[in-house]
This record gives sequence, structure tokens and C-alpha cells, in this order.
Amino acid sequence: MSDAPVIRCRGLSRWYGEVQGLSGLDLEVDAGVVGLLGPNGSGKSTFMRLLTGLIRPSRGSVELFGQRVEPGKQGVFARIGHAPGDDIHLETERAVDFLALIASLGGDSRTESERRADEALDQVGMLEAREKRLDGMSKGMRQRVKVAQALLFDPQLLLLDEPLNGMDPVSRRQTLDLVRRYGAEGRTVVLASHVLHEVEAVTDHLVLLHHGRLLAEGRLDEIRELVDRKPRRLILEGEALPQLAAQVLAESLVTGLSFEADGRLALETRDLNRLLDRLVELGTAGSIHHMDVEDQNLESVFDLLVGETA
Amino acid sequence: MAFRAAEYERFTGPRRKAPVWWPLFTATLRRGWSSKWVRRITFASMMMALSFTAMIYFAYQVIPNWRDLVQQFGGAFQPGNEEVVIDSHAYLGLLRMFVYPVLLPLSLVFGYDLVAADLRSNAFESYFSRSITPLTYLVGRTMAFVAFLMLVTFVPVMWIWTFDVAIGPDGHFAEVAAVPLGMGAALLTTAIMLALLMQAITSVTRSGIWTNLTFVAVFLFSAPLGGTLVGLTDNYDWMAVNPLHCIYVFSAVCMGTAERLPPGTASPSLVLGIMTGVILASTLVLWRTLARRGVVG
Repeated sequence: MSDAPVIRCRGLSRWYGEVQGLSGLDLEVDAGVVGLLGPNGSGKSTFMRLLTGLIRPSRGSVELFGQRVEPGKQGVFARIGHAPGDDIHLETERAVDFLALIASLGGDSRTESERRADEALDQVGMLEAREKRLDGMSKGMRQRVKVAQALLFDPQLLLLDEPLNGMDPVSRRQTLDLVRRYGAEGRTVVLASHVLHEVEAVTDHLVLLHHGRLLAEGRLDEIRELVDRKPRRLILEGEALPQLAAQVLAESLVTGLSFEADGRLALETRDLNRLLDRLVELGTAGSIHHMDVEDQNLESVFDLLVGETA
Repeated sequence: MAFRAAEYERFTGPRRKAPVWWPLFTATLRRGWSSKWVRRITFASMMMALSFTAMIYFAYQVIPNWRDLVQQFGGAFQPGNEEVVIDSHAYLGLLRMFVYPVLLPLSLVFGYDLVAADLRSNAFESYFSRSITPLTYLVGRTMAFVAFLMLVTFVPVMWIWTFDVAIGPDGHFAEVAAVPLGMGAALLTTAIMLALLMQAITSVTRSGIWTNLTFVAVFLFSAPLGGTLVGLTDNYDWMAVNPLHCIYVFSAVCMGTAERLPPGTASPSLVLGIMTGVILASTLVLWRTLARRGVVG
């Protein structure tokens, strides 16, 4: 078995004319679930398309299972399952026919491809809808058919491009369970999303993209650590806030201070824990009725990192 | 619980022996056949062939020497009162009968949305992220298109030819022996040209309606355009701007009767060049569209 990472990108760049889709991405991904995060237009789909050979890199290279993705080496794609981000598909009208067609393109016989299609539909809880026409399905159901398409060939690498869009809460939970299970089986799952809590629910390994650039990569706690070195906002509600402001302004711990329109005091600090300790030492803790630390959730982590590079 | 453990065992038995493009070939045929207009035109073509053979049969029953009569007196209706011989060249008229009302409309209804629908519905993401290439896609689609066009035109013509040879007089076979090969080559080349041209147009317009309009415009206005240009220049080669004229001349070349074409036709070498050019240009347009959609090609 090769020691090469499942995905290895070196200086991977892609331009669409003058628009930069992805720029100089260096990344290695091993088995497990990886969350690919970024707002719309950050380069997530471009990255997926480069991995699946749908587009060529303008510069750099991408390797899958130690094999470089290039013309004449399409065999590697047999180990990948890809659920594209864009909506599909009209070729065949029924869900089972569509999946059977894709299965037969992989070399299955007619009987085998239908059996495989049924298995994939069963895995996403759509077996009852196998005869249903694709154009009569809800967006969420079509999304699940796309996920089923990605599962068809028992893939070692599963690429899901915003699979939860349009799904109802039950389907979302089931799809996330599926992703978790695939990751636990030792496969690699790349889950692209612009909704952070979706990704946070299945993995703590994150890749954050913004404007086609790698913003941060690592475990959630590592990213938090990174965030901890950046200014954080502490919002205080209480009595005698102007006096408190005057006291903390003299402290080197505070990098910024402002009063909100509703009278709350906002403090910016690079060391939140030490500031909290200092507030207790100053004896002001009793006058504070409510305290809110911004940037605690993943959404804010992302905003913070984006803000840093903006 | 809707989601189950992945207990599916990977298939280890013998794989399909058919080539990779085969699933797309069959899917294209199924898609074409699902159109009621494709079924209607196919039925009309078969009925035309049956009616024609029935007509020949009844002609023999009523006037056993009808062939001699046609050959003796038919010249009166020919330009220059040329002698009429029912041989390979006469089959050109039959070929026209199947090209104009069958082959052209069938190309339109079968292929007007073939590539455009895949472009619109993002089907290429599904196709090309599997182990198939844009070339495989092109081969699968085009082979199905061409095969269907041949089935609906060449098979009926061959049915008529077989009937004609079977009940014709001794020596008639020698007169029409060139028909299967000549007609096959003519219809095959025409079908390939139309299939590629139609797919190229649909890949550019990305719309079924615009493809239809473009195709109809090309075939509708090219004939008067050719006539006008000939009138202005006195050069009959301008007739070659009309694809139907090209098909007619090319068919005569395939049947080996090009020298018997009436005056006022474009030169066969020019026609051959134009048809080759259309095939190459259409392939290039299609290839450019598809190659942008997948690196593996």
C-alpha cells in the first residue's frame, strides 16, 4: 500500500480568464472526514472539479492516491465518488435509470448496474423513490440522488460539494451520519460547505478557503489557537462601565475599546483569559451583569480569519 | 433507520465486455425513441418502403412488362429526352425520397437537444468524473445517432432493392448491383455529417429551439441562395452551398454514376471537399466544447 496521502496538491491554481478560481493551494489530505469551508465563490467547487479531472489546473499539480491527475490516467477516478454541486440531470427520467446509467459507464452489466443503483439509493434512504422521475423530485431528494451517485462505486475518496443544500432536517442528519460512518471506515470524505456548523458536526479537520486561497488548514483546536492570537471582542453590560473603561484602558491587555449604541462596552484583546483575570483583580467583576465573548463559534472563527486577510 | 451500513459487496464477477461507449449508445437510442415524433417518422419511413414494394408488386400483376414501357416512353419526361434505364442511377430518386422527408426531419427531432440538454443539466459532471472521456461520450452519442438514421433510411431502401431484384427480370441484378454499397456509403456519410453538424450546432446554441431554427434556416435558405449565386456568376459550383445538393451529388458519386448527373450540378470534387469540411469543422466544434469539460480526455 502506498504511503502517499489520498490528496496532494502542490501550488494548485486555476484561473477562469482573469478571474482567479484557486491560487497556489498546497494541501495534503489523508483518511477521514475533511471539511472544506468557504463562502460562495471561495474556490470549493473549483477544487472539487480539479480533483475529479473536470478542469485542468492553470498551474501546479494534484495527485490522488499518489497518482497525478492528468490525461491518460483516468483509472484513478474509479476510486472516487463525486456529488457535484450543480443540480442535475435529465438523461434518464427515473432515479434508478440515472444511477444505473452512471454505474454502467463504470463497466457494470445492465443487471449489475441496476442492483448497484438500488444499493446506493437504499444507503441514502431513497429506495422507495427509485421509480420517481427526477424532474418531479424536490431539490432535497435530487441532492440525495446525487449523493447516491457518489456512493455507487464504493469509493475510497468521497467528494461531496454542498450536499446538504435544500435537504430537510431529517435528511441532513442522515447524510451527516453517512459522512461520519464513511470517515470512520477509513475512507476519505471531503465535505464542502459554506455553513460551518454542518461541517463542525462531522469533523474537526478543516480546510478554509477564501477568494481561492487557503486561509487556514488543520484541526479545529489548532485553528482556535490561531484565533486566540488575534484580537477578540468582549462585550460587557453592567453598571459604571465608563469607570471600568478608564481603568482597563491603562492596561496593555486591551488593544481597543468602544461603547456600543445600546451603552454596552466592547473591549478588544489579544489575551482574553488574562483580561478576564484582570477584571476580577480590579474588583469590577461585581458591576458586570452580562458578558459576551464574540468570535466563539466556528462562524466567527471564519469571519475572524477572513477579516485578518482582507 | 433509512441509512444502512455499507454491506454491499463489490461485484467480482465478469465485467461487461461491451466497449465503454456502449451505455451512452443505448441511452441515446432510448432517449431518441422516447420522442413520439421520432417514432412517427420511423413508422412513416417503414410505411413508405412497404407501399413502394406493394406498388411494384401490383404493377407486375397488372402490367407485367411495365419496366419495358417505362424505359421506352419514360425518356419523354427526361430533360433532353434521354433514354430511361432502371439501374443504379434510378435509385438516386429513391434516395432523395428518403433523405428529404425522413433523414432531415429525423436528424432534427432526434438530435436537436442532444448535447444542449447535457450542457444545461450539468450532466458532464456526472459523466466525466467517472472513467469515461469526452471522446467516449462523443463516440457513444454519434454512433447512436448515425445508427438510428441508418436504420430508418438504409434498411427501408434495402428492403425495396431486395424486392426489386427478387422480382426483376434476369440481368436486372447486374444493373443495380452497385446500390447496396453505394447507397450505404452515401447514407452513412450523410448521416455522419448530419449527426455531427446537429450536435455541433446544439453545443453552440445550447438550446433546442435555436438549434432547430439554425438547422432549418441552413437547409431552407441555402437552396435559393445557391440558385441566386449561380444566376449571378454562371458558375454551377455555387450550388454546393446547398447541403441537399451536396448530398445528391455525393450519392451519385458513391453509386458510380456521377458522369450521368444532369448539367447544372456542382463539381463532385468540390462537394466532397465541402462534406469533409463540414464533418471536420463539426467535430472540432464538438471537441472544443467537450474537452473543456474534462481533463481526462
